[in-house]
Amino acid sequence: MRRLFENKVFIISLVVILLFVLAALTANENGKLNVFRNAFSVPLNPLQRGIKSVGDSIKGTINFFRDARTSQQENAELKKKLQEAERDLEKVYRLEKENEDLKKLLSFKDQFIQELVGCNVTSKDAGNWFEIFTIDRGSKDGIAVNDPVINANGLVGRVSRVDLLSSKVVSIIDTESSVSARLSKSRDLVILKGDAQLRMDGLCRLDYIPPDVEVSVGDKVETSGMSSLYPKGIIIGEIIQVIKNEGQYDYYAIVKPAVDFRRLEEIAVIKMIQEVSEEQ
Amino acid sequence: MKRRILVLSLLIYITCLMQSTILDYIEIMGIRPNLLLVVAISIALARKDMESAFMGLACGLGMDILVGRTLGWYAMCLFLVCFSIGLINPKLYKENPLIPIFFVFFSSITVETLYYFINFFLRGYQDFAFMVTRIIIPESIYNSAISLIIYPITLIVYRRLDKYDYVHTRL
Repeated sequence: MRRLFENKVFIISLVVILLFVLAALTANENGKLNVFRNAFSVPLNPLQRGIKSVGDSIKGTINFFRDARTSQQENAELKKKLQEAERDLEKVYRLEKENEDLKKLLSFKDQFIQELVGCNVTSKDAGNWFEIFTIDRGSKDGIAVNDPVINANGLVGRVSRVDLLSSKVVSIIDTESSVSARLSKSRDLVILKGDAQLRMDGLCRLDYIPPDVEVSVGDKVETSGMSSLYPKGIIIGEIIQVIKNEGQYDYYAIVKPAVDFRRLEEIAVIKMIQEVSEEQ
Repeated sequence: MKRRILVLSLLIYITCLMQSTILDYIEIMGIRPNLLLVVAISIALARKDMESAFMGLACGLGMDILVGRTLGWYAMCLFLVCFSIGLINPKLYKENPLIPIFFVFFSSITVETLYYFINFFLRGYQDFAFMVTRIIIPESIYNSAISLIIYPITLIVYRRLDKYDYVHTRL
């Protein structure tokens, strides 16, 4: 036995086999091997946050002068936009009230009760292969695997792994991600997928568009609510190119997400509490 | 021995920390270097085969945890690559500055290609040419440039450790 452990080939093959076992155990997102990752990521988290904040403040100082130049013009534009938004808001209030009343009338059930948890992005993906980033909330704050993640502009992705103080989010442009989506104008169901090539430019593709559905550039895409993963009606982005191949039944389109994945800072996780409201 | 393990795990830990934070600010065209790979290869160039293999394993596991997918693939690639570099390194003339650049470049290509085959090719994504030109080659070049800084640092760490052990065994 002693002899065996001095044999290098034996040790190498043993380690490789053990690594295969480890890979098999951790391939599932709800894996029970979290202790291992926690031991690594819990002490890493505060340090990551510290370095990130120092780095951001340095970056902010550098950008200050450039921002000062553009801010005046931006200010004028924003004031104009704000006026328009305030006008729209009154209309929205009225519609919301009306919507509530009508829903009550029909005893319409809400799909989910939701609660938003604000998070900061502490680090982007470490390698070059995937679009996964780390956020500074974990199972301690009640975040669970598969919770949807949004920011002010639209859908960001979903939570894929949860540690104690941090969790990993897979963006919608990652190759593994697929979202059941709906075209806002025609209400047709399609599937939004990440693509290994388009991901480099922050884009993703809309697959399986049936031939009888008319899609044009500029159409908005939103979540459909057909899967239990994402709630209905979150904006995803807009179509920037439609690609039809000769001899293929369905065609696909390229979507530019509303979220800028290169500059993600603050995001919100939607905690899904799956009890349907039964008050009325 | 305890001190050695402590210092080396600290080295890997700091590298992990840098990999996940500072590189956000220095990535070029969305491509970032793989610091843990550079550290593992630098160690493999300086040490014997089994030691460098297990240091490669540790660096790879760190990278796997940072990436946040299935654990074990980077660990396996780096384990095997570091072992083979450890086997041939007694024959190398280590003062030559081209040695780390050459080895980091080719082992980056090997490791990332293996990683592509496991995580993309076997899952049905086959555009290998795109991956090579847009990810693997740029990353390897970046890695070998970074190795000019990291290789001397790891050598200094190991030299200090050896010196300390030498002094304390004589006492």
